[in-house]
Amino acid sequence: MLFNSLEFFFFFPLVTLLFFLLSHKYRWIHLLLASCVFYMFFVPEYILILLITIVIDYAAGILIENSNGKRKKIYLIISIISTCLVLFIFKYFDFFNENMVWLSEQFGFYYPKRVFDIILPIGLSFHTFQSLSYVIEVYRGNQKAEKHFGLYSLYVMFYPQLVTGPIERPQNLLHQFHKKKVFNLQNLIDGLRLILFGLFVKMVIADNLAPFVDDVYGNPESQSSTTILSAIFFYSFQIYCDFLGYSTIAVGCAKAMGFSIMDNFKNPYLAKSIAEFWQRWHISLSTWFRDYLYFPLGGNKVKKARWILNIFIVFVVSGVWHGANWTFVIWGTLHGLLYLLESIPKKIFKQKTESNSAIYRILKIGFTFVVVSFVWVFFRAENLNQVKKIFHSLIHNWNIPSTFEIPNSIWVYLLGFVVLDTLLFKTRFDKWCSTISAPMRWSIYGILIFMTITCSGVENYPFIYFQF
Amino acid sequence: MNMKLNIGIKILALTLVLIASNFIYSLWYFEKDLQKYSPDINVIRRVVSEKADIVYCGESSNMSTFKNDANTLFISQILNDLLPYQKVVDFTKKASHAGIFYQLLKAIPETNDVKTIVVTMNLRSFGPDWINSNLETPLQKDLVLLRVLPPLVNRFLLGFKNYDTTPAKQREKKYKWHLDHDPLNRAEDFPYATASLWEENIVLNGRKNKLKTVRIRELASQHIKSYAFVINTQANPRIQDFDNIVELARKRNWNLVFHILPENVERTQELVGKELVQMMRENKNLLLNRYKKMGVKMVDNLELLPNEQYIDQDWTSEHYKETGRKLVAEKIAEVLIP
Repeated sequence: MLFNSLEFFFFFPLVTLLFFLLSHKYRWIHLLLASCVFYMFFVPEYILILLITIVIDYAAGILIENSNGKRKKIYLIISIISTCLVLFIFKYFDFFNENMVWLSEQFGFYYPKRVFDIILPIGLSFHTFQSLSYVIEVYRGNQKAEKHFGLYSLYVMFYPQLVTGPIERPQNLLHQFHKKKVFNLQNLIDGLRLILFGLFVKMVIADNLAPFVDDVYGNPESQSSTTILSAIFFYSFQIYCDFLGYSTIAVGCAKAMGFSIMDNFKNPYLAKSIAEFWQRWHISLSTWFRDYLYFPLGGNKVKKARWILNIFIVFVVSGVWHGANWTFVIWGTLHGLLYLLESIPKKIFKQKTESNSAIYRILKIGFTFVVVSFVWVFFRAENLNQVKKIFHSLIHNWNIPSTFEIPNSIWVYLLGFVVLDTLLFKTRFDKWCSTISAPMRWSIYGILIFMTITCSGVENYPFIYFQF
Repeated sequence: MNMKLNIGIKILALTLVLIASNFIYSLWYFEKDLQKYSPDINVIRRVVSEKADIVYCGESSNMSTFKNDANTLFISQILNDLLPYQKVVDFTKKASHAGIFYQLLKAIPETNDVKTIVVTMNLRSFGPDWINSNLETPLQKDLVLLRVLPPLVNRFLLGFKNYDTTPAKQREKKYKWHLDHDPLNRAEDFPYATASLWEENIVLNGRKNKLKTVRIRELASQHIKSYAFVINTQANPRIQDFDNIVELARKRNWNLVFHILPENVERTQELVGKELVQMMRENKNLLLNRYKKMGVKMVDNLELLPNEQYIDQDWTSEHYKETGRKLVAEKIAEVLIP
């Protein structure tokens, strides 16, 4: 089920209302059923894939907790391999095959072409990672194995963050299902505020930018350089608003029932460096990689060459996580290279003092935004050929007159969003609303409601991160 | 403050915001959105303003002409000329079908001069190819703002994608599933149980059946995909759509004419054989019998035109040259002339 669908408009109040009407004893059943319904709105049979992951990691958690030494490690490895195997089959099998076929053609060995060609289960990478974080935390002794199969299933399937995260940790979420939640009006209000804000950024900003970006990426050769440039920057806002919208709605839905899930974004385009960008963008994923890949590889407590390799591995894997396509691999690799280019001089020269002037900071923010936007081209393009065309047109088409008319309304929405996003620096929409006067607050509600209904994009653009 | 009172005030404030939003939207923005997202509103308005006697509902058959045509009038325009004392207004929309026509007809205001509705009955529109077409999404989207609801509600429904948004890949899968599983209900000695098996045979063994080139075999395969199905009156969504139109016409006191569009049966016979032509005839007869019983005037044009009257020779379509369009219009006019 999509958050920006009519079905969800009825689903959310009904699920929230029933949650508080039921006694604590039955709430997990209610939430689990609701999550199943939510997921089955996409491709119903795929819930079985989810079930496989849940069963594997539920059993693994108990086995790991009850064993020691080598056996404990073996259970962990079996669990990780089995969970990742599901991900590999559904997400990477075709990609792997295509590349093997290409290699076989280059080196003349026999490799039969097999095509799986199935629709990727929605949010597979997200719930796989959430499941993995559970077994790893149990292995590390930071989390007790959950004996209640229903509650463990709910941890993986909790509907607000089931499809595109935030990827939660068991320590943050699992214990919340055990605690009895009492209805709290402020939580409900905060939740509704977040849902409104999330719908606004997704439906008004992201969905209005999407057709323009699609048209340019669909036919880059005939576009002028200025049009290409606009599309590159528009995509930066499209993907941010799209994902921010989903994450904010997810946090809002959970909040309305009294659950607290982590924020995924902290004004990423106000970052002054690539390193800072990754502390602000898709936080639940970057911290996942930090805790479960970067640190186990040794983090920065190793020799410089090894540290460089660690950084590189994390970013490449992050690219692969996003999609089975070389464009994502390159996207991740480029971020890794940029991160290293930025960090190596600091590490070598132990440079600590930096100018703190406002102009310098603004320039750094602008520079980081431009660099990130250009790297997004690899993320957005369907293949490397399209990337080539985009950059070729950007460089060579300065003489072609721009045929694209960007409606003024889009600029107004964007400007409005930039102002709002800057206002929300170091805070969140629900908290910010509590700090302003009631007439001002209700005026903002009115404007957001009016705009979400009347200015929303009308084409169907599912959340971009659904494909991962 | 008492919690219940607090909630009550908030709900009231929210209601006021929505009422004010509806007022502002209706006054300043709705018309602009109608023109942008549902331009069909203009045809509905024409039906009333031009005091239409006949509304002609058509798809691309009513918007195609051949490059050498001397007369480029469309079927509905020829019909208008053939019926000088009646005004014909057309709803013409590429790839549309009875489901779309029903929604448009429903949007005609209660006060109107319409006496007769003519609806094209395209045999292919009953098949899995058309039913699972990707064009369904934009077609459905265009209708959302025409619903008889407050403007803000309509815009809300449009923004929240309250139309068929099935992804292309899922539609494709569904279409293939039907080709693979829908029984053709042929005689026992007919070798193919499904359209897929039949089509596969044509592609693989077409050469033996005198289909020399790949292009010809692809065309034959296209004919099978377009016409090799059995209309199931219980499950076919198009039947439900036509039934809805019959019901609507009854309520609005309109005369109803369904005209079965000509298909290139001659070419089907030549490329695939008499079995497929027989299936087309069976489907046609089913439709004729069903809707005659419901009191609809039926025009059977299925085999009206020879191959040379079809513009597209490389794929299946209902695009006719000028003589073809004239013949079709004349056959419809026959049932409309008092």
